[in-house]
Amino acid sequence: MAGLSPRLVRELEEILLELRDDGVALLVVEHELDTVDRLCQTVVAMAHGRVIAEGTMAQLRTRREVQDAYVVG
Amino acid sequence: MSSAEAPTPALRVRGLIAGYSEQPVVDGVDIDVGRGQVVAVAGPKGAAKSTPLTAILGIARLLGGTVALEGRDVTGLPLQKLARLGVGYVPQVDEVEDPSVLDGCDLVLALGCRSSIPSRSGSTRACRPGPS
Repeated sequence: MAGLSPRLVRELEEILLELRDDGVALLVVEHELDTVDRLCQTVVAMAHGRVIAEGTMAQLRTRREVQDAYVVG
Repeated sequence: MSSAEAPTPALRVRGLIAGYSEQPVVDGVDIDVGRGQVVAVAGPKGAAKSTPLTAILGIARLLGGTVALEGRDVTGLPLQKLARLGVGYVPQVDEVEDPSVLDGCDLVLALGCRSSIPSRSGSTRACRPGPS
């Protein structure tokens, strides 16, 4: 969603949610955590080519390794 | 199968190792995506978060691990065969205008996910014909 207007982000999110509601399985690669929070039940957090955590955004926000990955890189 | 057992995910990735040469850039990635579920791969820049997806599709080099669709092993299957199984892919593009984004969504539909999507006006956008 990077570089898109907020309006277009919302429109795309609505389309993706409708696809989801129709039973489509969607795997998205996304950097914008607000979008991830609105769209995704499960988030796989990666850093340096490895999975460092998996869960809901609420769960991941509390994980130290995820915070470190975003802050330290 | 007992009722308590989890259903087979639409996409199951196990132990994925992949890169763009013989050198892996992702190692040991597991991902499950169920029908009617949106799963995100997130991470800071340089996390190699796109590589598992591109490796599933055969764009990046799959060096190890397995990929299954609805329980069927599709590891290493060519993209055109994955498309026939209903797999779609909308790649990241550097500059996006409204029509091209929605064309990207059409691409997903053309590859078999759905036959139509709602337009911004509330009517239905028809899916463009997929590759024959």
